[in-house]
Amino acid sequence: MVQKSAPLSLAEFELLVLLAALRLGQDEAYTVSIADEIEQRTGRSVRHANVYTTLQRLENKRLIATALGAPRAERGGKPRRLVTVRPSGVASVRAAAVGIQAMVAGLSDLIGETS
Amino acid sequence: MSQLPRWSTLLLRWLAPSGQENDVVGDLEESHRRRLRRHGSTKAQLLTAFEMVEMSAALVRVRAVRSRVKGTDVMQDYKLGLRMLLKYPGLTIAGGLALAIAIGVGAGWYDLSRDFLRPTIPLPEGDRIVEIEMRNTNGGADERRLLHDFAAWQRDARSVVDLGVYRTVERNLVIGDARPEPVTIAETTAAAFRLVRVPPLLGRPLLDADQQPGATPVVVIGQRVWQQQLGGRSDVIGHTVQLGRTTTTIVGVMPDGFAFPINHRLWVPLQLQPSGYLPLAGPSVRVYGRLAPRATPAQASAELIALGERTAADSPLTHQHLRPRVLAYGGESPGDSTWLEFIITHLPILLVLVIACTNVGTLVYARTATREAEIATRYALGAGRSRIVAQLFVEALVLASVAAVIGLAATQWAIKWGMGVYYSGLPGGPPFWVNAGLKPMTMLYAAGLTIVGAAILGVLPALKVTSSHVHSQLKNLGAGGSTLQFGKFWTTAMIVQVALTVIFLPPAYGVSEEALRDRQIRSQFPKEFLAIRLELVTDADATLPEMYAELERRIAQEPGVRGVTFADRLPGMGVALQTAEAETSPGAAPVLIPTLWTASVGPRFFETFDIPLLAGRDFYDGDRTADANTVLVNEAFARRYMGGVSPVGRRVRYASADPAKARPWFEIVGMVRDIGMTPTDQGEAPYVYTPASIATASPLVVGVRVAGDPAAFAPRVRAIAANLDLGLRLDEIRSLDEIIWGVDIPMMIGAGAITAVVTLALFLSAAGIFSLMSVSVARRTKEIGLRTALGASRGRLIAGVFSRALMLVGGGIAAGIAVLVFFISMSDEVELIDVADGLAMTSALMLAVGLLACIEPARRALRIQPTDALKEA
Repeated sequence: MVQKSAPLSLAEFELLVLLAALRLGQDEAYTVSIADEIEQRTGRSVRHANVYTTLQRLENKRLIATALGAPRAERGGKPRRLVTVRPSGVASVRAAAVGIQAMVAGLSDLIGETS
Repeated sequence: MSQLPRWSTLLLRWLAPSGQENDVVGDLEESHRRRLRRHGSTKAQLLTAFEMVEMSAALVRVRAVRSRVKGTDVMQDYKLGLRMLLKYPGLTIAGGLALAIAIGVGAGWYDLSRDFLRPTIPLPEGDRIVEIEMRNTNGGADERRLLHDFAAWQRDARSVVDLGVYRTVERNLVIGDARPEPVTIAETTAAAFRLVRVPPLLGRPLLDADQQPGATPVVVIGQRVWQQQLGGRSDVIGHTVQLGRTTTTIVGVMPDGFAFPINHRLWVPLQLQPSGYLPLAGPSVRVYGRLAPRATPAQASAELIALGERTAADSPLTHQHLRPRVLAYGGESPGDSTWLEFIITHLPILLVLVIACTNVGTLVYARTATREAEIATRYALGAGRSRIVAQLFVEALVLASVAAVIGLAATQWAIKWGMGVYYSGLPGGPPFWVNAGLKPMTMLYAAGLTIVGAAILGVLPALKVTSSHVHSQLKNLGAGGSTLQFGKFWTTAMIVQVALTVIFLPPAYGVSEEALRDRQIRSQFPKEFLAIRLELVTDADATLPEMYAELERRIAQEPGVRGVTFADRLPGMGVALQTAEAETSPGAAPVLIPTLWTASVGPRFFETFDIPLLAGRDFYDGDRTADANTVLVNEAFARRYMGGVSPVGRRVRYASADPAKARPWFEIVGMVRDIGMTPTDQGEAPYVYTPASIATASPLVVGVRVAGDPAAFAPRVRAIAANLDLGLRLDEIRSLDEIIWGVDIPMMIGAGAITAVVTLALFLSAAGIFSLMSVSVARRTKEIGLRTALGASRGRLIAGVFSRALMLVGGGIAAGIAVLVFFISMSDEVELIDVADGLAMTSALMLAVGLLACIEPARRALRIQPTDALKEA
C-alpha cells in the first residue's frame, strides 16, 4: 500500500502564487503574469522579484515545475519560464483552502461575507 | 532588440542561476517595455532600475540558497570520489602512492628548508635576532677568531645592538658526591640575557661584572638541571658545584625550555681581556645581536660590510679576504627574502609534484575516458560544464587528500627520525628552535599542494572531455567507443616516464645492492668493542699523554678487558680520504691514487682488532715522532697498486695542490690484512695507516676490547676517568656495533626509499601503457570490428595493438639510453661498460612490462564482434 505524505503547508504568498498559476494555466503562468494576476485580483502591489523567489522556493519544494517556452518578441526575443502546478502543489492548495474555509466558517458576523 | 540598459542585462546574466539567464532578463525586458508604453522613458527607466535592484537582491538570495544545496552536491561528489577509489584499486594504490610521495616530500622539503634557511626563534622578537659571521672570500672556512672585530662592531655598529659573543665548552659537572657528568656549557658575555629578554626563574642572570678578570666563578643553570640534578633544592642560589676543576657558585636558574644560544643548560661568563685583542687573536667565538629598532637585515648587512672593509684596509694582512655577513639567527638566510631562497624552497617541490601528477594523470585520463558516455549524458541533460569539471576535480581531490594524509604521516615520522639521527651527535641535543615535526604552516602548504595536484589531475581531463561535441559522444554510447584520445602531451609524458625509469632503475637497484652488501659485510665484524671520544681540559700541570697512559693502565687492569688502543677513528667510524701517489717500483713514475682511505693509529691497534701483519713490521715508538715518515698499508692497497707483490720498501705520498710543492714521501714498512669494514665495488678499500701519538691523534678515539657486552662496561670507564681527573672528559661512549649500525641504517633506508620510488615509477609506467592501450582499443572499436569482418587475422589485430605499445616503450628506452650515454660521456669515473649490463636488463624489463600491459587490451580487441561494429557503421 502506497502511503501518501501530507500536503506541504504553504505561506500566504506561496498560496497566492499557486492560485494565480492555476488560474492562468501552464501555457500562460510565468513571473510577470502571476504578479499581474495577483495584483488584479487582490489589489495588492506585487514585486516581480518576490514572485521570482517564491517560484524558486515552490520549485525546490517540488510543488511546481518550470520549463522554458518559445522566444517572444515582446520580451526582446527571450523565452518565458512557464509554470505548471504539480499534483503535490494542487494538494497543498486544496489543503490550505479547506483549512481557511474551516476557520472562516461561522465568522460572517464578525468579518463579513467573504465570497 | 533589447531596450534595457546594457549594464542591467550583464548584471542579471551574471547573477542569474545557470540556465535562467534568458528568462530573468526577459521578465525585466517585458516589464520595462510595459512601463515605456504606460509612463514614458524617464519614469520607466527609474522604475526598471528599482526592479533591477530588487531582482538582483532576489538572485543573490537564490544563489545563497542554492550554494547550500550545492553543498549537498559537493558531499555527493565526495562520496562518489570515495567510491571511485574502491572501484579503481590499481589507480588508487599506484596513483595514491605517487601523490603521497610527492606531497609528503614537498611538505617535508618546505618544512626543512624553512627550518634551515629561516627558523622561527621562540624568543621575544626572535625574528630580529641575528648572528654575524666572518666569511672567507678565499673559499676557506669561516673565521671564528672574532674578538678584535667584535670590539669594533660594538663600538661602531648602529644597526645591530645587544651584541655579544659565546663559545661552547664541555666540562665534567660534579654535584656533591654524584658521578661526574659531561655537560655542554655556554661561555658567554652577559649581553646574551639582555638580548633574549627572558627573566630568570630564580636569582639573576649573568652580569657584566661577572666577566671581569678575577671575578668569582659563577654559573646560571637551567630549570631541568635544578630539578633533576639538584633535587629542586630551595637554597639553589648560592650553592656551589664543580665544573671541571673549577668551583662555581649558582647565581640564577633559567626557566624550562630556555637554551640560548643553541641547546645549553648552563651558562658561565666569558672573560674578555680588558686590553682588547689583536686581529685574529683570542679563542674562536660566535657573535649574536639584535637588529636595532627600524633597522632592516639589508641595512645591517650593508653597515657590517662597510665596517669589514674598513678593518680590511686597516689590517690587510689578516683581513684582506674576510667579510662579515649578517644572518637570521639559526638559519642560513640573510633575513630578507631573496629570489634564490624562493627558488630553493619552492621549485623542487613543484617539480616533484608536476612529475608525480603527470605520471598519475595518464591513469586518471584513461579512467575519465571510460566514463565519457556518463559525462556526455549528464551534459545533454543540462549539467553545466563547470558542474562536471567541479565533480571531476572533487574526485581527484579525494584521491589527493587521502594521499596527502598518508604522505604527511610518513613525512612527520621521517622528519622526527631524521632530526633525531642528525642531532644525535650534537652534545645537548637539537637547538632550542628546532621543533621536529610538521608545523601548521607546512600543513597549510601541503593542503595547497593537494589542491594544485587535484587541479592537474581532475581539471585537465575534465576540460578535455567536456570540450568534445556532445553529439559525437552520445553516438558512441551504444558502440562502447570513445572520442577521447591520448594526445601528444600525454604520449610524450609516457615516453618521458619510461625514459626516466630506464635511467634511474639501474643505479637505484645498484645503490640498494651495495647498501645490503656493505651491511652484511660489516655486521660480521666482532661486536666486543667500545669506542670512547676523549678530551682533556688541561691546566698547566697536567698533560694528556700522561693522563691517557694512566687511564689506559687502569682500564687494561679491569676484568674482561682484552685490549686498549686509540686512533683518530676506529674501524667502521667513517672515513678520511686523500688523493695520493704511489711508487709501484723504484724509479717508476708515481701512479695516481684518486681515493685513498687513511687512518692514524696508536700502539697495539692491529693487535687489539686482530688484524694480522702479513709483511714487514708494525710501528715502533720511534715512528710516532714528528719527523718519521713511515706507513702501513692493507692487502687491498697492494693488490690494486703494487700488482699483488709485497709493498714493503715502496713509497706513497699525499697529492699536493701545487705541483711545485710536492709533499714528502712515506715509506711503506708493513702490510696488514684487510679489516673488511670498507667494502667497495672492487673489494676492500685501499688503506694507508699512519702512526699516531696521543698528542697528534685528532679526534682521539679510544678503543677497548671487552669480553661480553661492551655497553655494560661504559659506566666503569666513566668512573675510572672521574677518579683519575675531573678535567678528563669522555664523550660518546658507545659500542662499535651501535656506531656501525647508525652509519648503515640511514644508507639502507635511503637506498630502500630510492628503490621503492623507482619501482613505483616502473609500475606507473606499466599502468600508463595499459591505460593508453585500453583507450586506444576503445577508440578503434569500429575499425577493429570492420577489419575482422574483412578477414584480418587475429595475429594482425594483436600486432596492431602491440606495435603502438612497442613504439612508445621503445621510444622511452631509446631516449633513456641516449641521456645516460650522454652523461656517462661527460663523467670521468663511470664507463659505459660499467652500466651496460644494468642497462640491458632494465631495457628488457621495461619491454616485458610494456608487452604484459598490452595483453588485456589485446584480448579486448579480439573479443570485438564484427556484427556489432557493422551495425554501428
